[in-house]
Amino acid sequence: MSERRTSGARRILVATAWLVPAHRRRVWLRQWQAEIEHRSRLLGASAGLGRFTLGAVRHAVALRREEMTMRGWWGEVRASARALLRAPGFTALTVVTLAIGIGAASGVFSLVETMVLRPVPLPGGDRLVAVFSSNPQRGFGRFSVSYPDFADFSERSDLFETTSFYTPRPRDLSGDREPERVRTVEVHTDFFDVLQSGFRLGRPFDPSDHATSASPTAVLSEALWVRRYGSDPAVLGSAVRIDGVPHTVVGVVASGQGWPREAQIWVPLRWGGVVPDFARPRSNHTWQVIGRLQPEVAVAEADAQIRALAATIYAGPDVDRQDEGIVAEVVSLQAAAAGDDTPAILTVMAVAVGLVLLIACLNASGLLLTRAWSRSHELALRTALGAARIRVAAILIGESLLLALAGGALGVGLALYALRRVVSGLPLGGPDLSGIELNLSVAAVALCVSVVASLVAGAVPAVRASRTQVAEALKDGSTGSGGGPGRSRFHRGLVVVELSLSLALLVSAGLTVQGLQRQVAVDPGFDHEDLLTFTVRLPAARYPEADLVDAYYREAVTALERLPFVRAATSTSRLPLGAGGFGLYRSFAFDGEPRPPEGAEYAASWIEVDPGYFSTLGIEPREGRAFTGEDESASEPVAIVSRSLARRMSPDASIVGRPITSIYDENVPRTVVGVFDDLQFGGLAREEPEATVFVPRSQAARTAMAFLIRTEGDPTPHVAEIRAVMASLDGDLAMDDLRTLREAHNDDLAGIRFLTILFGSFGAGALALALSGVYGLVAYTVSQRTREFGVRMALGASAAEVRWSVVRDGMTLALVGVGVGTVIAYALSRALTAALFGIAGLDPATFVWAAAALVLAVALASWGPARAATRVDPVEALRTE
Amino acid sequence: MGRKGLPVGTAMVLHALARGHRHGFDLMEQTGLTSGTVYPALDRLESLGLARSRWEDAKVAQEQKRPPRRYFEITAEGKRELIAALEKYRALAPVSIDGVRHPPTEDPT
Repeated sequence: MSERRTSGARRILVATAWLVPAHRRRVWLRQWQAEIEHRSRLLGASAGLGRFTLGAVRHAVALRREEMTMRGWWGEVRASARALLRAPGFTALTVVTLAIGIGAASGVFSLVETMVLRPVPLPGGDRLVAVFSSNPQRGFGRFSVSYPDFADFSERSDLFETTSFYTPRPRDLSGDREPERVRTVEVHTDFFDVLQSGFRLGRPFDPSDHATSASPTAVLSEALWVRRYGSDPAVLGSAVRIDGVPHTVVGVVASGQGWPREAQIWVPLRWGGVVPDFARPRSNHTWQVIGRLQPEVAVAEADAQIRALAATIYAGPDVDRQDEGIVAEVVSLQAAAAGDDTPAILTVMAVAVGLVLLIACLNASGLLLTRAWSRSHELALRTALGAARIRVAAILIGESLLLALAGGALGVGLALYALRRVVSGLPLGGPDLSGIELNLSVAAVALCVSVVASLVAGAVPAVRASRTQVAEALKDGSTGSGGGPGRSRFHRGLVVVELSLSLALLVSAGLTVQGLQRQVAVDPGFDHEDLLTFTVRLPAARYPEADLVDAYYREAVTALERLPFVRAATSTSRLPLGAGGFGLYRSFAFDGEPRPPEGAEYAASWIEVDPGYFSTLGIEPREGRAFTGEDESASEPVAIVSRSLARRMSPDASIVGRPITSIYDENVPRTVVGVFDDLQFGGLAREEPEATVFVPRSQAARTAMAFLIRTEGDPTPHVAEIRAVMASLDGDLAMDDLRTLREAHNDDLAGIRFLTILFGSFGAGALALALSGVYGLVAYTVSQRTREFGVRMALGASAAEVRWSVVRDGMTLALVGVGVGTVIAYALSRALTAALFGIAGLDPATFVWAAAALVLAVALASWGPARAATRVDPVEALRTE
Repeated sequence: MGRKGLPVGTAMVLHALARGHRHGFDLMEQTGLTSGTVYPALDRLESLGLARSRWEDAKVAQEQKRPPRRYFEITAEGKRELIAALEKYRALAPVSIDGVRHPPTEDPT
């Protein structure tokens, strides 16, 4: 009897010892053991022993309080840190989890911010706006504004201080060195007055530069000035050749001060106050309008006023039928920079990364909950013994905060690294990303999200602990266990959400991989090795006649084919395999037949080619013939159609010999002379081959073409000779996008390849996080069910049965996760399909594979704890309680 | 704490130490205070430098087949503090409550 009482007292001492600050613990324990021993010898195991022992607990609490008061909040932090370091596995897992989430989120959102949201860094940039037309009725997004609209809008001086407009036109810059294609912008008067751009050198355009009689002038971007002219100040006042015409450089716009952001050269429209005929019709929507608002006018107000004005204009009588329903809108310049065509990639990335952050937070919460629950006994005891509730909460919250901060620091480091090392290589258009920096407010938001998640996870058990009464806590048993069904359900909920979100990411990854595979595996329909490509634009000023254009391309092809290593050369308006060129889509019908209703025409890609096109690609006609030198401007208009179009337009009889017409534009009947197999043109694989109509270049006289040169072996060593030939024909023309067709094809795939890597890594990361969540939950459950397993095995359950019951537990989670995840994945893949050209969404096979992968992974994650469950010695298991 | 004077419980423990009681358990007996008061008070006294502690000779304890106990002694500083505390309590004039004088007689110590 007495022995039992003293041993009970000793157990209380041991159980309370953790409460004593570590450096005093040994003395405290030895002292109390001695005192209890002494007392029981003196008095025997009298009834007062319990009270006496309670003194030890109060002593421990007093020491702890003293410690807490002494060390203040910093000491609290250090104590929390020490506590965390004592559980290195838990700590590392939680920190890494949060780091992945915070790093990914702040990195990607910084990218989005730089590309989309950053305000234009111009004086009074918040007053700068762009005006767009759009036609929601017809489903047209933002497009340019007509000159009459611009004039009407500009009259609203109550809204605008100044307005101007511009139009981007690629030009060839030549002169002192190799010609190159530059992003040139033609600007109306007051352009730089609106922007108030800072100039590195020289001046903006003044009204005299816009005079009809003025000699051509140009303003360069600082980036171009640095790269092409080595920052030579002597460029100012000198002449550069733009499309072969000398332009005097009057200024260099400081970096970041130009508009549009990607512009390299600005040249003035030289209208001298006389609006040219082509700009007069209200239906000619050609100009990008910018304006500087009056100081007191808000963007929203200007938007409302201009919308109303445009509504009045387009309700008027002198409006073309096709322009009915046109709406005007005013948006801030930074919103305009983001554009209607904000890369869909960014949106999808943002969603994906948001999911990763969410999963990371859920996972961290799960980890914290498990830890807190396994300590609930300790926490309840602390509270019951008089540790202020706020103190207990402080311990939990302190740990949560520390974890979130450590995760945040690591995550921000990862994001910084990724932004500096990785992002510059991304296939994203838009502003210059070389100077990209981590957006601190974005990182702060991500950190806050994870802090909140950790705090919530920390607060749940803190609140429970503060409510728990001492009796209840002690009733729970000495193992510190006691998982009620409520906490388990909550935790399981977390894990199910994690699993379902990772399924969604896995499915997206699967879809992008599929898209990429289909693209890489696609049969281009011809031998695509040893082909060199580049594009050329003939400026209208120097090639005003169709004959001149035709002569240039004929001569070029002839000259190129004279090179010994060139097997064949040709020009085409659009290159296969998404390699570039100038895409054009038209609607066709048979000539002489009633015009089909709108929407029922045959849509096809319109491609202008030289006679040598098909032989250069090495393909033979299915039916009829290829073009020949006889098909020229004076001869009968002809066309060649792709097999898929032929089959659609004329399923029963041969199409060869029948006349087809491009009904909305050219409107010339063209006799079909041949049918060729479908070639792969589209960048991204389509469900069906792209219908194509080929026409002879000389019958269309397009000024911008791509060259396609087949060489003996690799063309790369011969580039200089090819350049020399092209320069001998016209030294002012740039050879843009010079590369092999294979390189071009690869560049074209960069976008989807990037997405594949992105979703693949996000999916893998999410899956890893979710699996660690599953593992943690199952392992925790197993530890809670030790006694149950012991009993079951004692009653004769086999190890396999016990293992299966654990794995089944994980499987249930996985299946519920798959159920919920399928719904999310469905929505996400719909968005992905909508946002990304050519990825076929909703592929059941991908769903099945992703779900199977998830279930298998969960089974594996449950296997470890399941084996642990069967290693329980029944006797030992029963003894723990 | 020294400046504000010792709490009564702590002063009582110090007083008992001065009277030669050295172990927590004895001090409880002497002062009638609970273990939850006496032991923290001893620690406090030690940290204030009013008492010091030593562990009992291990050999003695071993002979008696029990763990060595921790015992406490009053320091010179502790004596001064105790005198100050006693002066303070003595300064309280005797008071008559419900017709009974408190304390009933002068304390002989």
